[in-house]
Amino acid sequence: MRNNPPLTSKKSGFAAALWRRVWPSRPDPDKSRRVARARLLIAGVIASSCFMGISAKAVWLVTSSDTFGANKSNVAASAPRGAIYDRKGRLLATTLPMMRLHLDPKMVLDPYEVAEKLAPLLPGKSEADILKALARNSRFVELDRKITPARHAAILALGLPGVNISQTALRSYPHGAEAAHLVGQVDRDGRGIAGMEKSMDDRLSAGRDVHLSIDLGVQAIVRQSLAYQIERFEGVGGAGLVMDMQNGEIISLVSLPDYDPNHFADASEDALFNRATKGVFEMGSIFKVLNTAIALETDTASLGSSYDVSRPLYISGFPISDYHPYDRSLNLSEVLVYSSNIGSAKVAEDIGPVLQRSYMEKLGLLARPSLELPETSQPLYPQKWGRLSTITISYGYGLSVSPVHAAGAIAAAAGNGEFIAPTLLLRDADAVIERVRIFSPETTKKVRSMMRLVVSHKDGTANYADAPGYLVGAKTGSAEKLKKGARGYNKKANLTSVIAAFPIHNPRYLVFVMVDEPKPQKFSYGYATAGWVAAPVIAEIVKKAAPVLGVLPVDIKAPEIRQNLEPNLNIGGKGAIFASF
Amino acid sequence: MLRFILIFCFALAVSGSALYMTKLSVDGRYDRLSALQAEITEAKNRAIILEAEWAYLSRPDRLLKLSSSLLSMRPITPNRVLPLESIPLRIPEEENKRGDDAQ
Repeated sequence: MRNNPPLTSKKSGFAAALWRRVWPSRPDPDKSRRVARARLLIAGVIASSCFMGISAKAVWLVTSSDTFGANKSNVAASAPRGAIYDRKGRLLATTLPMMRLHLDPKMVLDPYEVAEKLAPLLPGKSEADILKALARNSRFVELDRKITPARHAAILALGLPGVNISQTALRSYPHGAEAAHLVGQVDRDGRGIAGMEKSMDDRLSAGRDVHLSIDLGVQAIVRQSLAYQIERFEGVGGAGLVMDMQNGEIISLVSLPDYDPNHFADASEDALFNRATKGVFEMGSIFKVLNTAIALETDTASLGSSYDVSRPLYISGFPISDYHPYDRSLNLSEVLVYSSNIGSAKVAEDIGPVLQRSYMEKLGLLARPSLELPETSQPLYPQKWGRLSTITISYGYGLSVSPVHAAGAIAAAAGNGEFIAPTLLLRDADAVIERVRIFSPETTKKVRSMMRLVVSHKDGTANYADAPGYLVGAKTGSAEKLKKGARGYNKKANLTSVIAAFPIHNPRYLVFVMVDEPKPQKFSYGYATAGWVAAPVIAEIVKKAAPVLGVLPVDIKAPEIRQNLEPNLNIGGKGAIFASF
Repeated sequence: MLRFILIFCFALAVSGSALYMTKLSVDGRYDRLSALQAEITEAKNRAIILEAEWAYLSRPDRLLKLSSSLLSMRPITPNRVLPLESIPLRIPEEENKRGDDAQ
C-alpha cells in the first residue's frame, strides 16, 4: 500500500489544486484499483488504435493502385512519329532517337569551369556562347540537339552538376534532296509544316507509316536527267513527273532547284518552291493535244478537216503566227505534228468557248488539284472566256496550270480517255479508282497516233524524245514567259516542256519534263526550244526508267501494235504518204 | 473473447506478411518487365538507326557512283531485252536424239 505524501500547508491556491488532481489522496484501495484499471484500459485502447492505424496505412501502401500505376507509366512509352516509305519500301523519312544537351544555370556551381570543359566537346560552340547561355534567367537552356554517343559519354564523364542530357527525337531524311519537295518538313516540335509531312501529319503523329506511290529509283533517274539538261542549257529550274496512267499514281515528282531537308534552314526560297505542283505556267503547245482531242470528241473536226495556215491570223488586232510557217492548208494531224498555232486557233474557233471551257473543267484544269500535297495552286484562267481566250488557250496561252494539272489532263487524252486524279499515295490492289470518261477510245487512238508522229516523223518537233523500242509519243511546248512586272511576253525567257506517253500503242506511263528559261547554246545551233532542251530528257528517262518500271521494248512492226494505232494519218501534203510509226 | 482476438491478430499478421511478400515479388517482376521493355526499345532504336543507315548508304546517286567505278555494267539497251516467253525452250532429250539418229 502506497503512502501518499502529506499535504503541506505551504501549497495553496492553484498549485495545491493541481497537485491534488494529479496525485489525489486515495485512502480507499478499492477505488484506487478501479481507477488504475480504467487508466490501463484507456492507455491500451490508445496504443492499439495507433498500431491499427499504422497497419492500415501499411496495407494501403502495399495495395494502393498508385504505386502500380507509377511502375506502369515507366513501361509504356509514347509511339514515335511514323516513317515515310516509297512504293518499294525504301525509307524516305524516319525519326531517330537522339540525345540533347541542356543546362540548368541555377544548378551550375562554376559557370567558367562548365564553359571551359564543355566547349571542346561541342563543335560550333565557343566558351563565350556557353557563358552567354548560362547567364540566361531560365532553368532550361538547350545547347545542342544532336549529341553523338561518344560525346554523350565524354560529357557524362565530366560530372558537372546542372549539365543535363535527355533523350529527344530527330527527323531524318536519309535520301536528302532526292524527294525533298514530296516528303516535306517538320518543325522543331515534330509537327509537319510542308509536303507529305504536313498533309499526312495526323497519320504520322499517331505512329503510323505512310507509303508513297513514288519509286525512288525512277525519281533519281528523272532528277539526274533533268538536272543535267538544266545545267547544259543554263536554265533557272525545272520540273519532271512520271505518272502511271492506269491508276493515277505519281511515280516520280521532281522540282529543281531543290534542297536537303536535313538542312532545311539553309534552303533558299526558290529551292523550297515546288514548281511541279505549286507553280502555275502557261504551258504552250502541249495544250494542242487537248485541243485536238476535244475537236475529235465533239465532232467539230475530223482527220480530213483542212485549215489554211498560209497567212497569220488577226484576232482583235492580235497576230497569231507559226514558228514553222507553211504555205498551204494543213489537215488536223499536221496541225498537231507541225505544231501550228494558226491551225489550232482555227480548230478552237470551231469548238467554241462554251465547249472548250466545259472540257477544261472536266479535265480538272480549272480547280486546285486533289493531290495530297499542301503545296498546290488554283489555276489562272480568264473570267470572261471569249473568242480570244478560246483561241489562245488552244495553243496553251491564257490558262496557267501546274505540271500536275497538265499531266492529269493529258493522261486522259493520250491514255484510254478516262480522267483519273493524280495521287501520291500507293493505292491498295483492290482500291476503287474514280474514273471519269472524257474521250472515247477512237478519239484517243487518233490522238496517240499523232503524238507518235510528233516523235517519229522527220518534221515532228520531238524527234529527240524517241527511245528505240519503247514507242514514245509526245508533244512539245515552248512558251514565252510573261514579263516580270510589265505587260506582254518576254521573247527571251522561255518555258520549254514536253509531255510524253509510252508505249504509245497501249500507254502505261506519262512523262512530263519542263525546263525553265533555257539559254541558246552553240551545240544546239542557237536553239533553246522544247525539242532541243526537254525532248532529250524524255528519251533519257524512258530508256533508263522503262526497265525499272517493267516495260518491255516492243517491235514497232508487230501487227498487234499497228492495230492500236491509226494508220490513216496523212502527213506531208502532196505525196499523201501514209504515216510511218 | 480474448482468444478470438488473438487468433484474429495472428491471422492478420500472417495475411499481412503474405501480402507484403507478394507485393515484393510483383515489384521484382515489374523491374524485370521494365528492363525487358528498355531492352526492346533499345533494340528497336538500333533497328531504326540501321534502317536509316541502310537507306543512306543505298542512295541512288551513291550506288551510281560506286557501280560506275567498281563494276563494268551498263544500262541495258532495248535490243537486249526479251520477254521470257520468246526464248526458245531446250529441245527435249528424245527429240534431240532423234535428230542425231537422222544424221
